[in-house]
Amino acid sequence: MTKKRAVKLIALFVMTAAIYLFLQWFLIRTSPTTEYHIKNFFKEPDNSMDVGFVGASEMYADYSPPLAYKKYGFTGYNFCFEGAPGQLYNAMIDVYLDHQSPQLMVIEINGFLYKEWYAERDANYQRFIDNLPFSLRKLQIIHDYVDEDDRINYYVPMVSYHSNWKGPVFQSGRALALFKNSFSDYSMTKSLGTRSTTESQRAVLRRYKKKDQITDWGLEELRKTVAHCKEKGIEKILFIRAPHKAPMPKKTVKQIREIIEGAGYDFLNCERKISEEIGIDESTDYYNDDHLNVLGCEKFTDYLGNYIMTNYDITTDHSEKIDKEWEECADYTQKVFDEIKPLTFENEDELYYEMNVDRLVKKED
Amino acid sequence: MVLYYLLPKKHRWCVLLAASIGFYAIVCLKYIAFIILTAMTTYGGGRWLSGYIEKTDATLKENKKTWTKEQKDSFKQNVTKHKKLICAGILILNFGVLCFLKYYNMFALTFGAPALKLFLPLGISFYTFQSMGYIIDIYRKKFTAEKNPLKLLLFVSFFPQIVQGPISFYSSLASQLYDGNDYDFKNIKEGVLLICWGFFKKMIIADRLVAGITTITEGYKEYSGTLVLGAAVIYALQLYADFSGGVDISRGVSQLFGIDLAENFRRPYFSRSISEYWRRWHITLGAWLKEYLFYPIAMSKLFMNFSKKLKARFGMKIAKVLPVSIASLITFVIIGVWHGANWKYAAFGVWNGGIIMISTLLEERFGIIKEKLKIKNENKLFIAFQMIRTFLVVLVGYFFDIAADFTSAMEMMAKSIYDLHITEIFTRRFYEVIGLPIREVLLVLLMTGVLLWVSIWQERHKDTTLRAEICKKGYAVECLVFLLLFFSVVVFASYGPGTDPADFYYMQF
Repeated sequence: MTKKRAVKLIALFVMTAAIYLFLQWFLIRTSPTTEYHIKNFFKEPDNSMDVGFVGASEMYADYSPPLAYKKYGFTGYNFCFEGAPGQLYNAMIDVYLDHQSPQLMVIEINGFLYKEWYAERDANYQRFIDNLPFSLRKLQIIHDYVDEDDRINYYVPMVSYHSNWKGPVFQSGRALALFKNSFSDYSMTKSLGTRSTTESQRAVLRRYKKKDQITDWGLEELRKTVAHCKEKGIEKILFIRAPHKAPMPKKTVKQIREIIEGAGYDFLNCERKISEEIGIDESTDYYNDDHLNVLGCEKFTDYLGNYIMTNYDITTDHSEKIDKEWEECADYTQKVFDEIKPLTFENEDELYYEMNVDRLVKKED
Repeated sequence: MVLYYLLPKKHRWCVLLAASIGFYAIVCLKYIAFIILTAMTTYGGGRWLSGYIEKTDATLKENKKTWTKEQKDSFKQNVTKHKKLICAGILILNFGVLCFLKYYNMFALTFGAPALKLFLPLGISFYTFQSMGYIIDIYRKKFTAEKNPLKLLLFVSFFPQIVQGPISFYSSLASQLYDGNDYDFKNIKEGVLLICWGFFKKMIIADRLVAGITTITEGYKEYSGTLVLGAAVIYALQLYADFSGGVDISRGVSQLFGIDLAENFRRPYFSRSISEYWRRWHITLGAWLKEYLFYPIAMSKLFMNFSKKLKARFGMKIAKVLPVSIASLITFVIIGVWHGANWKYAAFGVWNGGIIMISTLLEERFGIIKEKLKIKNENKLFIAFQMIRTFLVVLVGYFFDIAADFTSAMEMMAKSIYDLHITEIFTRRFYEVIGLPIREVLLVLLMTGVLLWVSIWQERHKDTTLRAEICKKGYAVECLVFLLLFFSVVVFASYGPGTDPADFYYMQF
């Protein structure tokens, strides 16, 4: 083989690899909110969070870390994604603790209330794992959670996504937004996902009923999470149940409470009476049965922030740089909320999340 | 491949052997004993036959001057008888294993005997045919038997062709396998392009169509004739893309090692007659059967005598055409039965062989009609008519393929005629049933368009290949075509969870 031919072959190999990697990135399709909630977590400066938040969509819809910072001074990031199932909570906690050393972990328990078939759907794993950056932790998660035969789908995401991409327009839009997002140094909303309505008309998958009893699977996963937290030596954990229109059955609350409190951790149920304490109005503060809109989010953020500061000894000493960043984020998020509120009363019913709220703020400017 | 070219030429075949055994062990380790048994009996039988021929030839030569003509004739007769016995023994043993595994349950079901849990080792039809061709050629003194058993094992098990052929003749493949081929970058480039093209056909077109065909054929009673006919037409495309794609991959891999495997397809749907179709479709099986079955039948004493009797009674023309047609019919019935252990495949053979027989017998009459209608063979409309007519005949044969049994095939054919509503193909339900959303339909149409364009180009440039022409255009064009093919497969192919791209349709045969 001549030198010239070798160079040509190497050039072809490099070209092929580059196009492949681009396509593998370009064709991924999980969900827009999940993508930013997970990816942007890794942009945050290491050990900059006072409180860690883990959970499913309730967390990013109901609680806004920048608004809590504004009033109570503590930082936190909602490391959560839609449909996050209970069995993945341990992995989420591990990832959180790989990068942050929060004084308190807050875990929303919705992921344990799913039925097993729903929790075990491939899509749940893909949403989480495929948005994690490459690391030993990611390989470990694949190894721990995915069947040997299916691991190839996670090591080489193209295997899953080549037949699952939505279309050139959607994928290009996604790629452009991600590209734009790559220029920011940190998340402005610390993961936000909401709809501008008081009663969303968007069809939601409701094949499981929340008012059902927690299943044996859910209890077992909760036990595993509690045991995992103990094993990792996490001292302060507040398990919460975010406000929902349909509350959990009393038996379920009792079972959950027993497991959590039995391990020496705290449980705060924000359904039923506590909702009244928060001041949530069912007719205006939810965008659907399970999620608060921005109006409810403001109230719940205030309530939870106050609860955390009252019940836990959280120190809020940050570097000047961190405080400056968080102040900017808080102002930004407040502006976003202020813009979404009137749209909520108009029942616009649009999805707003980290990457599309910029236009609202710019409009205001 | 790197190891192959790094080793001295005389040892390069060892790499191929190791790869072949390794490949078979990975894919079908449980049944590796069968291929080794075939290789051993072929080797032993070939050596025995070859030794016997050499020995008897030498005896004849030694006694050429001393023996009388009667003594020589008697010796020759004796030798032929023995040769036939040895050859028949090897053939019966090997075809016996194949037939038992393949057809026992069909006969058991027909005659009420208990069925057995039998399996078909990977590529058994292909390697048995290839090996037995080798034995017959030794019998015919085309060459002497291979002395090295490992080399013969390589001939029997050569990995690119083990899955679904092509079936090669020893005379054309052996030297390419054993002599060690020179490194030629042209072979690598063309091989890679051919492999990509094979994957393009197989994974983008063929694999996408399987589900719809299965849905309709399994529940054909619930679906309209339009859908049943649609399934047959789609099957025509799926089968061609799957089989020819698979063979392209095999040929491409072989070309990486400088080995030129026989061509198995020459754009069969452009055929103007059913005979031509069978010269363009699964060419190597046709060539094998022609060489080792059709000619021996047509030239047998029985057929010669039959021809003589026909000549005396009906004249020269019938005497020439009828025995050949019957031999052809027998060959096609065997082709049909080779496809599977089901009477529907026998019907498939009778249909194809019968059409060829009738065409041959009526050829002269058709010629007269054509002349009267002043139709020229070169007339483009006439060519198109012939192609469509041939395709429709082939399509009828495909009903036997896709149906579960003979009765279902007949019902499906009938339904395709009496329950045909062409407008149905413009409805959403049609595509829902065949399992293709509109995006997939457009993709299949686009990719089939590419396949058609390449086929037309190749049909017009028979003295070269498209990949050879691409490689002449220089680095930029080569890279562009490679990247387009490669990434078409990566992005549009049907693979991943729930699919099995390694599942080729002809593997089952």
